Amino acid sequence: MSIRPEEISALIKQQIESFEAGVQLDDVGTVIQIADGAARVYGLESVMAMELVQFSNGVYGMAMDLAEDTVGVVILGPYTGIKEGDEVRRTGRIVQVPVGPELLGRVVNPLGQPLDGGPEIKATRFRPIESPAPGVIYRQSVNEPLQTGWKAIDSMIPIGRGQRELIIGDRQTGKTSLIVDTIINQKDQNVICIYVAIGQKASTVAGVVETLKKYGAMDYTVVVSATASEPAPLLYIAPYAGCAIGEYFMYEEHRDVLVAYDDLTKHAWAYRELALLLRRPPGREAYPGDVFYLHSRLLERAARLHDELMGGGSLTALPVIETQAGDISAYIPTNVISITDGQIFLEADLFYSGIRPAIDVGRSVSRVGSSAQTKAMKQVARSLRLDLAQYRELAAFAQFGSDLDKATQARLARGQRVTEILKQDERQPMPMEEQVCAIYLGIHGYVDDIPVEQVRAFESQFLRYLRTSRPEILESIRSNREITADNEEALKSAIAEFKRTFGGGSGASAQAAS
Amino acid sequence: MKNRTIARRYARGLFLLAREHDLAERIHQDLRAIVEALEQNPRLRVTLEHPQVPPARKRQLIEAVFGGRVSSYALNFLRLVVRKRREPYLALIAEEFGRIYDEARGVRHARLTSAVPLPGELVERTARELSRALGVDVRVHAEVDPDVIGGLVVQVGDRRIDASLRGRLRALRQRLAAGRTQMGVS
Repeated sequence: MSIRPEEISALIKQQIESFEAGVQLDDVGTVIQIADGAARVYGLESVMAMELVQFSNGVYGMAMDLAEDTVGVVILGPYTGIKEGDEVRRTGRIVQVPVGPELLGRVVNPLGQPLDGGPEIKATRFRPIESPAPGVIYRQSVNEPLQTGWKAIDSMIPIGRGQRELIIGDRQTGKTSLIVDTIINQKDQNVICIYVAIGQKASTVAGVVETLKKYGAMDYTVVVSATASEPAPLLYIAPYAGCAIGEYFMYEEHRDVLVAYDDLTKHAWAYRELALLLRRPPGREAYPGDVFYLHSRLLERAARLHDELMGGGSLTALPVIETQAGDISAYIPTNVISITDGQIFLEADLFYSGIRPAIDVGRSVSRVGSSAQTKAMKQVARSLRLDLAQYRELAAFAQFGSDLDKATQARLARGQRVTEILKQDERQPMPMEEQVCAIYLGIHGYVDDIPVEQVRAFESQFLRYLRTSRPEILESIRSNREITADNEEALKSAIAEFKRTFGGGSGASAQAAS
Repeated sequence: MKNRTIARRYARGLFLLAREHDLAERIHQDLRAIVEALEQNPRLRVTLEHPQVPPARKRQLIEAVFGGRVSSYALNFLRLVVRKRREPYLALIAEEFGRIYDEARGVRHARLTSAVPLPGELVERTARELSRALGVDVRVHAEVDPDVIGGLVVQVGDRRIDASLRGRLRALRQRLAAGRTQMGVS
């Protein structure tokens, strides 16, 4: 497509001819101080909190500090062109984002502008980025599972739709990976996903988008990105913007929504920067006094809406916190732990010893998700927990000596094998019925006689066998959502059948090894 | 940055006293005369604001300069300001006093900017129209700024009514540049 200059000139001429600017009414103030992304503005007496204001060079700002004579404005863009004495104009608009199905599959900044090189987003609806959380009577308790596709999570730390589950761990322990797989697993689950990247490397965000595209997950996903190079105010509004986009789908379309905030540590940093620039008094770790409220008001917006009163819909929040050297008792981690309905704790030591996902089962909990778990999963999860707890207790002692009685050895063997079964590769989310069958193998001792290093191979081959030769068992667990006497019998016979074939191969190799 | 809160407190105290004695207009004029005197005589202002000049000397100076020329309350006020070492705030206090006084008597000030000097009759008519529209007594202060190019700009408090050529050109520029607005929100 070529554009001729004379066409542009004609267009401009036409614009100028038809241009009618009447009298303009504005509320204006004056910049009296400007430094590092925050300005003090004199005047603007009737400005609203969180209102967008425009500086004379066109850059927008957000009024955050309404003092007696002046207004503290944080600048949402390059601030080097703004001088003392510049004019500041009110826009009369609270900071808001475009919402709606137009955003699906897009990568946007916290103001809803595209970052993916695609066309402008022509949304007809907007929502203010801050909005009150639904009250008590509009909610109902969490009763439907949100399948993450991870065996270890869906069985022991189940997440329900509308829950807030924290993902916490050091850098490089698989936090983002866990979220990406959870989003991939929502395919055909009728869940809208929103991934909010706060203060991340742009290359990381690009990688996440690429992965989501590859697995066809962008069709139902919105990525809101404020990378590390953006000014702090954009990082600050990013999670609220992502939440507002999710709220539209929950309130207006009564859909189930999953919003992941990756990560809230950097969000707290951005807010600390703003607060210090606005000269708010610093408190512990130099965070301002309302840093708790910063996250509590965001996470309170997650909800499971009442079916009759509100027409249903839910917003599940998966906030991420990055710890330093596993210190979960630092300021921000403890705050967010206390706000959420449970946490998934990822540990570097486990990660490096090959247990992936590196979930520390002992310290991870889900306070409400168990009521949303399917019956089938509950049936297997109970003894799974027990097996692992006993294993953990003994494992520490077992390191000292080898003179262990039979019962102890059996428990250790069981624990090792169950741990093997809970291992799972990236990008391999598993449906509920397969997870149940895999865990069934472990807790009922069907892999006790398989060498530890072959347990995973056994599991994956067995699941392939089920899918190809006995699909009716999987189908029965999926539709009944529980292990009935009938399908348990069928499962047992299938295991026996499979072990005959697998046993031959492994037996030979075991002999060869000895 | 000088703290307006301090100036406001002094101004309010002085205004309450003035109103009690029905001297608000007189003291308002006195304050303006004092500020004007300080502006026109930088040496007087520097001496008054100088931290090393003892308050007793400053008091003598005040009495010599302003004694007999301003009301006794205004003079007393100056003495208090000197004793409390708030001399640098005098201009701000006068400004705040004017604001409080205007609010009390229902007067607002408007700035009328045009590219060329306007005939007095037009300024008066603007004042009348503004007073009618805002429901208060609006005093118009006309200014000339060639940058306006044509038309008028009226500013009352924070509110600006822009009917100038400059404003129209700015709006046109924004319209033409729309589409690549920076951080623009629709």
